[in-house]
Amino acid sequence: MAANALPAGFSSPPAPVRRRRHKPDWLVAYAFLAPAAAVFAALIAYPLADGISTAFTDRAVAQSGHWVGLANFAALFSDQIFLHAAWNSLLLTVSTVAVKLVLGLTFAVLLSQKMPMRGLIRALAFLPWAVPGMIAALSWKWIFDEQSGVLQYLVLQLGLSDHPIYWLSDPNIAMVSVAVAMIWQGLPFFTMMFLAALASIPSDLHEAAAIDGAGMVRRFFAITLPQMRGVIAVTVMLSAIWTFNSFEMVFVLTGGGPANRTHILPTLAYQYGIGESHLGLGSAVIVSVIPVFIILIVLLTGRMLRRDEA
Amino acid sequence: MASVSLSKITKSFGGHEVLHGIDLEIGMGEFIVFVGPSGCGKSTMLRVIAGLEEITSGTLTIDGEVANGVPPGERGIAMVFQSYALYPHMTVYDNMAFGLKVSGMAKPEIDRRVRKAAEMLELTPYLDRLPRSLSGGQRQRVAIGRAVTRDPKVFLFDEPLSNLDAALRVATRLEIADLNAAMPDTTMIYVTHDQVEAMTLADRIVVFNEGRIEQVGRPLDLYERPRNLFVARFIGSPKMNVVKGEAATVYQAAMIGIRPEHLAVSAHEGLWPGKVKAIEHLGSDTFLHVEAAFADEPLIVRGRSDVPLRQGDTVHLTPEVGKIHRFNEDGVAFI
Ligand SMILES: Nc1ncnc2c1ncn2[C@@H]1O[C@H](COP(=O)(O)OP(=O)(O)OP(=O)(O)O)[C@@H](O)[C@H]1O
Ligand SMILES: [Mg+2]
Repeated sequence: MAANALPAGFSSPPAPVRRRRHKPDWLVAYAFLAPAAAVFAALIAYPLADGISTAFTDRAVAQSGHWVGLANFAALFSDQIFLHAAWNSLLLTVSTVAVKLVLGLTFAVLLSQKMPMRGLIRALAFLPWAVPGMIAALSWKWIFDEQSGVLQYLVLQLGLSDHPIYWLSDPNIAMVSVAVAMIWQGLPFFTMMFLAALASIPSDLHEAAAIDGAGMVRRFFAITLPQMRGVIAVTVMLSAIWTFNSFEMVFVLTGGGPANRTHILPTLAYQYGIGESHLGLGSAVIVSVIPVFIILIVLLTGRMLRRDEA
Repeated sequence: MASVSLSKITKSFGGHEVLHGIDLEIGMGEFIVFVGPSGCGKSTMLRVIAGLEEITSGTLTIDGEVANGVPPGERGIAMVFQSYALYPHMTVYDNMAFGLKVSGMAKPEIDRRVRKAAEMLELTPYLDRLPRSLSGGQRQRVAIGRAVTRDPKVFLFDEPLSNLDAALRVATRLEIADLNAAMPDTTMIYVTHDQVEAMTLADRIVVFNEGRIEQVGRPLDLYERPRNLFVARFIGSPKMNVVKGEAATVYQAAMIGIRPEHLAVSAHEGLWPGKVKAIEHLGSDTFLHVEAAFADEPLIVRGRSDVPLRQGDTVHLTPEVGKIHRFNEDGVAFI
């Protein structure tokens, strides 16, 4: 055998590696996940289950209530306020996410260019993300204030309008005002995610495409966007969930009024459950959209897992 | 007419000049290889020609027209990147077709060109695959195919084989040689670290050092008649031996250089006695590292299999007549 001809030091076969018979990996994974699962069960699953079950009762604040089956849901689906709030929620989510997507892409592309004071400009662009939600909402309330607000002052001074505009009390304008504030608040997340995604696209792809004759616009659609697809999908879905669930902007700016015309589902749930002390109905408002969320979350995690495997 | 002409080209990155006035005329259909140590500016030179880097000063003409400021896509060039730079989300077919689509070529003509290139590079079975499901060698061929379909006037390669294993490197090197033969009017500029690629592929080799050209010439000219010590030491593997002092003075030079294969080895008689410090058996060749009193570093000598030697043996080396390279104190060769 050839091995016998090898000089000393090469000839002794390597000692067999003794393999410890180990447990399957998933068992270990479960062992490590157990504490987190316990905390989840105590802090999230229990209240969640409690909340869901409340939706099937006529429970009021400080009362235990009785099982009423689907009565709360039946009431909601014939309730114009609920239907209108659901529509508002959908409209607000879709429109603000769409605007944030377009603006976020634009800002990210602009902020990824070389320019003087880029660090400072980036920091400013991310600032709204750092402002606590309630403080942001109160600031916007002041901006939109119809008597003494900055916006009213500017509009009248600059002569853009000869009469005051009812930013928050005209229900048609109010939804737009709320949307603007929410876009301002949520845009940095999009910009940040997209900036990171842009930075991870290898520059030689752009160079190859430039040599292939593609100009800036062509490169954006042929290289940049397809390379960002995964990040865009995840960002949009996360933001859709957060936006749909966000409460304080509408609550602070309009409180759902005038005449319940600007409610979204979270503020309506609060109004029914706490404001009108009808916890069962309030819970039912939230529970009624759980199926939508389940679909979104399945899409989202599926997307993330697929990227994981790629 | 020159296909690519560089005149006093300089390139600076933020005030730091990395190319210091490059002059070079490249003829149509020539295969030019850029070599030089890491960081000497080979890639930068290539990227300047491609239009990926702006020219700081000087004039670049491609095919008779000034190319300064012309966008890369309009220079009639194609480039093969070291990283391949394939579009990850496009199939092999679309990778090769992209440039043609951008140029607005008709679909049937695109199809014809892509299939022809795929045929030539044996990529036909993979046309519907994404790059990530290809091996390194296949990816490299797609990158070459993408360049071929554009039918460029000038073909640029930046170390295209450096990510391949040794066997694949040889195979792909031969393919590139075939490609060059099949495209006689296409000028090729090729950056490499590999001596063999440079020697076998090049019509002319350009030796760069610290942002300047040290010498331009046919491979064997550079090997046999290096203009200076840098080129002498850079071209050839193992390196040329360089000896200073008395042994050089004998030849009326400050330094002399002698290649490993031009030193005769004998156990008993010869000009320079020395002691064998190490022996490297490469199969086809045997190299001896010989310590000699007059040389600062051990001399590398191509040994002979019929002269059995062992470490510690005393040997005598004799340089072959007419194969000694003579240099002055500045390292410039006496021709
Ligand atoms: N974008 C850049 N910004 C600043 N300096 C750069 C840039 N690109 C290259 N350089 C510098 O220019 C010099 C030449 O680099 P280049 O990449 O051309 O070397 P090279 O000869 O290709 O080296 P290698 O063989 O390692 O690829 C180096 O000193 C490098 O640091
Ligand atoms: Mg390089």
